[in-house]
Amino acid sequence: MRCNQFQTELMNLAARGATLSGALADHVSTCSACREAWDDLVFATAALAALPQERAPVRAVQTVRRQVLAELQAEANRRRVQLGLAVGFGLLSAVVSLAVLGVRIDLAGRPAWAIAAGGLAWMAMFVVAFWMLLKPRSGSEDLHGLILSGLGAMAFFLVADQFLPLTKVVQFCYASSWAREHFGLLGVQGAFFVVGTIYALVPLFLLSVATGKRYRSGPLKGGLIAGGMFFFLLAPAIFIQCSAFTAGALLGWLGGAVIGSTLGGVAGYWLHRRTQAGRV
Amino acid sequence: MKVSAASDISGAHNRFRTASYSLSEASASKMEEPQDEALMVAYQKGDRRAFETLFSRYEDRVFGYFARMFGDRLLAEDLFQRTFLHVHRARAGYDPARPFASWIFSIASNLRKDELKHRVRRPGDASRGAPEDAPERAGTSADPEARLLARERAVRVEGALAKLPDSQREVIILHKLEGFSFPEIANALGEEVEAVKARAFRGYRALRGLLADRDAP
Repeated sequence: MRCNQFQTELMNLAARGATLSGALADHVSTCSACREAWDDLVFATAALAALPQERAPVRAVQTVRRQVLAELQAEANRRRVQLGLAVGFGLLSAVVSLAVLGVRIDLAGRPAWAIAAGGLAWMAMFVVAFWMLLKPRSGSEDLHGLILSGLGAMAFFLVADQFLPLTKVVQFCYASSWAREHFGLLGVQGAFFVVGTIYALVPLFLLSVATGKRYRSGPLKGGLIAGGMFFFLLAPAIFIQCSAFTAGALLGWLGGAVIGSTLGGVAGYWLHRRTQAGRV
Repeated sequence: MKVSAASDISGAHNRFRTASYSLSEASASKMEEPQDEALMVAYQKGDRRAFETLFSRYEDRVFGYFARMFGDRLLAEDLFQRTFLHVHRARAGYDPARPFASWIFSIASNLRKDELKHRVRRPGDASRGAPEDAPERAGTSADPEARLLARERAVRVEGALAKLPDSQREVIILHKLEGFSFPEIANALGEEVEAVKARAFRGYRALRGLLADRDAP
């Protein structure tokens, strides 16, 4: 080893007030430069060790403590208000969603347990979504953009489903000879899957393109998160509507919603990114 | 070398990742004190006790760093307050994989650099408070003569420390007085480990020279 490679060890030993031993002691005993350095280090560190411990002034300590604790308390209060708002908005959104659905389908004709389960699931999902949207931003502007996209797509779906109900489209496929010719091979399950995919893909695609500027990370990640959020908001609507259909129809629509929401989000963010890159 | 320093640190502190980040859980076991990193994660979530514990662990260290860097207790008090308020407002961005001590001292070091730049722009403020201005605090002995000797010695060492270049003084304070390893200092200051070691070595030897000059008749 060269002398300068011993320096670190000499400094660490001197700073700890330890003594030399082993190879280091052998080297220092034969190298005058290192012996001189060791003597200097021991002298300097011993002098520094004699310095008294500095104490932070009580006034400054109290000022910092008071200010930080006050801010922590204010944050806790804000969080409570935000949680209350999230629960309120979540409840309101679930009621409005059920009411919008009730305008088109006869809720009274559906099993009460299905409506209750769907409503509760809706409320839970809306509360989570609004809580994530309202809670203090912890450096993740992206997440806010994704949640806005999921919530917006859900609102879009509910409105679009009023004017062009998905179940009516599927029925049309079986009433129309042209559509039956093309969709007949798919069966009811397949038709629900295809139309369900389109009904999930279009709203999320449009919303992710529209809110793309709020999201800066990769399209795949964003698409999966926004798609997941949208799917879980969509699932209760599918569940409530499909309680009158077969299990195959329910599974077909749910499968289509998974595929459509994932593809819609990924494609939307990808397109937004490409458009932005083209502008630059 | 920076990479190896970072890996040294992350290796040494990987245990923090496995530690529970809940203060209540961490405190449940009275056998061991919660680690700074675990406390910081609890503090990030708004835990008041975690803040109080961290603050009490670092208040004297951060104040001592500034007091010894500037030799001006009023300025040290101001920078001490600014450091902890900065920590509070930037806590959401803290990464628990990074040692908390390195993180807080990197904030303190940046505030120190800002203050130095500010002083360059306003030279009138640049006077360094003489160590002799420091209030009586050296020595706890009941013997007045021993207390006086200890105080004289402390003043002499502080005077010599004050004559070192800022960059050497900072590394020596962090190494000897704050007990940081060289990779931790490099991490806090955002510098190469070898550069930090070289500065410390030169600083220690220069300090010895300064103290010897003072001791000379």
